[in-house]
Amino acid sequence: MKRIWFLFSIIYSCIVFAQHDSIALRNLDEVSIVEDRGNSHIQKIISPNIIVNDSFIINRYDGNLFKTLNKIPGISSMDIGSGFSKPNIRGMGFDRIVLVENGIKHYGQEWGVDHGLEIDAFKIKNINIVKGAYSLLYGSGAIGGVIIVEESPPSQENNIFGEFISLFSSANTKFGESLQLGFQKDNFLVKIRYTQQNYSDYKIPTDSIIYLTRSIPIYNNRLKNTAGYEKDIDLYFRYSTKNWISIMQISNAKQKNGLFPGAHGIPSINRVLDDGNYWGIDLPYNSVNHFKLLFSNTYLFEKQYIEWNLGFQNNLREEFSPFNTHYIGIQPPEINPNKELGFDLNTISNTLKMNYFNGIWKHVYGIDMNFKLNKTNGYSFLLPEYKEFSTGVFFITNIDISDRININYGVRYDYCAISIDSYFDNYLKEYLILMAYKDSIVDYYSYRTKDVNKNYYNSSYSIGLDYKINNKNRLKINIGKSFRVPNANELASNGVHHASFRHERGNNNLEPEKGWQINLDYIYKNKSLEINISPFYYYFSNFIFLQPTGLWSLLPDAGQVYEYRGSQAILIGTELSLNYLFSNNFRLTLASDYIFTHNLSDKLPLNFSPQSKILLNLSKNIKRIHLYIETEKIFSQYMVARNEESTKGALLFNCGYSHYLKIKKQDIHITLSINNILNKRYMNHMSFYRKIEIPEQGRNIQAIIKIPFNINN
Amino acid sequence: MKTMKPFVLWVIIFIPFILLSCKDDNVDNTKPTINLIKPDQNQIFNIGDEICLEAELSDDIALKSYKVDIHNNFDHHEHNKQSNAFNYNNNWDISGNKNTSIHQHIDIPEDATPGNYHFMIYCTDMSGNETHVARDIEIVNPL
Repeated sequence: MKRIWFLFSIIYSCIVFAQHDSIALRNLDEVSIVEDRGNSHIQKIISPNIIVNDSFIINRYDGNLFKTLNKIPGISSMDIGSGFSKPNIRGMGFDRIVLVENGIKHYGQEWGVDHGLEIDAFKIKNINIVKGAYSLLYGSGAIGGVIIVEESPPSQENNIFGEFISLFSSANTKFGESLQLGFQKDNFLVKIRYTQQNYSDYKIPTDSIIYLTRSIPIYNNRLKNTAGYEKDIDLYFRYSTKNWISIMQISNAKQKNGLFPGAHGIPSINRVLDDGNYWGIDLPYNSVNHFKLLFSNTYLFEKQYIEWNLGFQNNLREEFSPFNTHYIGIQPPEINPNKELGFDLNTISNTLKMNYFNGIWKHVYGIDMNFKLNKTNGYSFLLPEYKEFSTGVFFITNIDISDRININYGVRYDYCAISIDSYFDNYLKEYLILMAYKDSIVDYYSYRTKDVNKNYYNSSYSIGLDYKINNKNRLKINIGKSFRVPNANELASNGVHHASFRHERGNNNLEPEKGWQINLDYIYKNKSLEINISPFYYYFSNFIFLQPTGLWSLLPDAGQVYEYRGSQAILIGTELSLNYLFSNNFRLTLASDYIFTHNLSDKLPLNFSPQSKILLNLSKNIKRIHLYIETEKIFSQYMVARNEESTKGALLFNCGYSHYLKIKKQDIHITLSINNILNKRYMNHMSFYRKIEIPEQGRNIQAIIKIPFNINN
Repeated sequence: MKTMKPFVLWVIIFIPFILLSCKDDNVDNTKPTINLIKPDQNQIFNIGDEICLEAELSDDIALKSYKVDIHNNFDHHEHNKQSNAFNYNNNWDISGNKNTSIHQHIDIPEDATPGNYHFMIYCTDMSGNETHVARDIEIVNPL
């Protein structure tokens, strides 16, 4: 197989390829000071990062934003059907990654395997992905990395502008449209964007799957009830004077998607029968609405500027599933009888940063405050109601010692108080009584969680060196300590999560997660060749993950109970990317990553370890046309945690064609692409449906047309 | 070649990390096995009779426990009114054994509701590795 793959790569290197315009391997500190002042919220940090622009997202779009980013070394996606994905950076996902928009962290229910991130892919101009901890600036959650959504800087002149994007995707017959309109008049800028995507049940190259040792048929290669939609609206105001910038952003992202009924609750073949309705969203399904109000201000003085960001967010996530597929023989609730879970999370964030600079050094002092309030409802219990207040103070300095050497260091101190409410589960009580358990057992289990009040204090620090050895070689080293406060679900969840198909229990004795990281980043660059190697070594003195307890769960369809526990762990890996421009406009890009994970108490790997991959892309630019052919080798994952299944690798072929047309001054950007040309049946080790052996989507033909327009006055 | 020096350097630095962490410690990550002999797939039982369970459990190191779970699989739209569906959930300790044969009789109560049921058996070993097997069975009124 290896030989065949090698052969293919040689054959392909003889054909066409170019992702030149797409991935810019850029370092954060190359962001100019003007940009830094006005628009971005980036402080210099010496950590490996990648900036992806909108043309990469359009040219390589693969169903959703984070699946598209999967092509970048070090980034993997955890897919939830075909509509949504969760990002994973160097083996760390869920609450270990932060999404930042306008200086404010995105707060949803990231802990869930089946919870995607709520953001409109088309509104993104640039996305800056920091690999490795960025705790100094973003605190607890940024232990694994940060995804920063960057706005495009406003143009210099008054104009009316906008764009229209239309998308079609064959694997789930997705139709998407996005329309943006805006105008800029002197100091004032306003823009509005509406995006809508609708998709049907997605196609998979298989006719049966295995759930609870039972073969469940898949009719017509369509995964029943996985249709869904996404509707996003975004309103953006910007007012600027010579030394003052004020931005207000109001956005709402709504998503609704069906869940495969064969894998929800007790399996039943009746529920997966083909009903001919590929577009309907039946039970079970989940819906989420994320509302955001962000307010950002920057005041410029002569040698300093102050940034103040304020945000309010509401994340409402609801899951509906027939009551009786979970509890048998009990009267369902009268109101909303099929509402299984409801989480209503409100967050207020406030960040204040003071930046002082001269030509050589730059200091940043900051304070960060967040208040979270989570309410729950539904007949089932997973996550308790809680209140959380967290605050951190930090200080970061950058010094340009010479033209070639830059040093960066910083410290941060955090405090977090969390208060979790107890929950008594009447439905579980009835169920346990029905099962004729003893009163003491019924009482003990019906308290899904008791009151928990915890206070956490922690410090993080980091030091980095950026050394431009000569014109071609550059080396960056970053060493730091970071931490993460346990989440409410790690402290006090209790129940069978259908996403993981097991009984998961929180542990209110958890200590914060603590890790030491070493990141290296070596860049070699000459006219035609660019090499980037980023090895990393993470050691966690406490890493929180689910471990089997050996105790049987009393809940239906659950094996043993899994509990969140801390353990020492290491994660080691590297990314390698290589970009070679041949003389005749051919470009060869190689992108690859590898991660080794290990928990030192069990001497076993951690779960959800990403599969290694090698991407070989050959592209060519012919005037306004960009063509590429790509092979994607995904390696098998045999590094598995206890009771986790290993996943076989796959070899995929993709190709694409982009045309930047110009018809009478009007730009039109057309993209056609085919992913998984051979319709290969393969699984993603980290996907939501992996546990029930549902493969990833098959061949996917996509067409995107993007029409930007601009009228100058 | 001078420019390649840093590259070689970092490869050298990186290799020991991998070697250090790859040492094999003979960790028990092998699941126990369940050979479920009875009940058969789609076996029919009369109310008032008993379900005969026959299985062979084994593990490469040591077994710990097994659990039997029987619950209904009725048509989910109608059974709101069914209040006395037959549920069974029990577990037994078999710590220390490498192999064991189990033979048990589970009574189906007289008031059990006829219909389709799921029969599940779970087994764990001392390290926490877990296996399960599921069967569909049917419970009917005696003729």
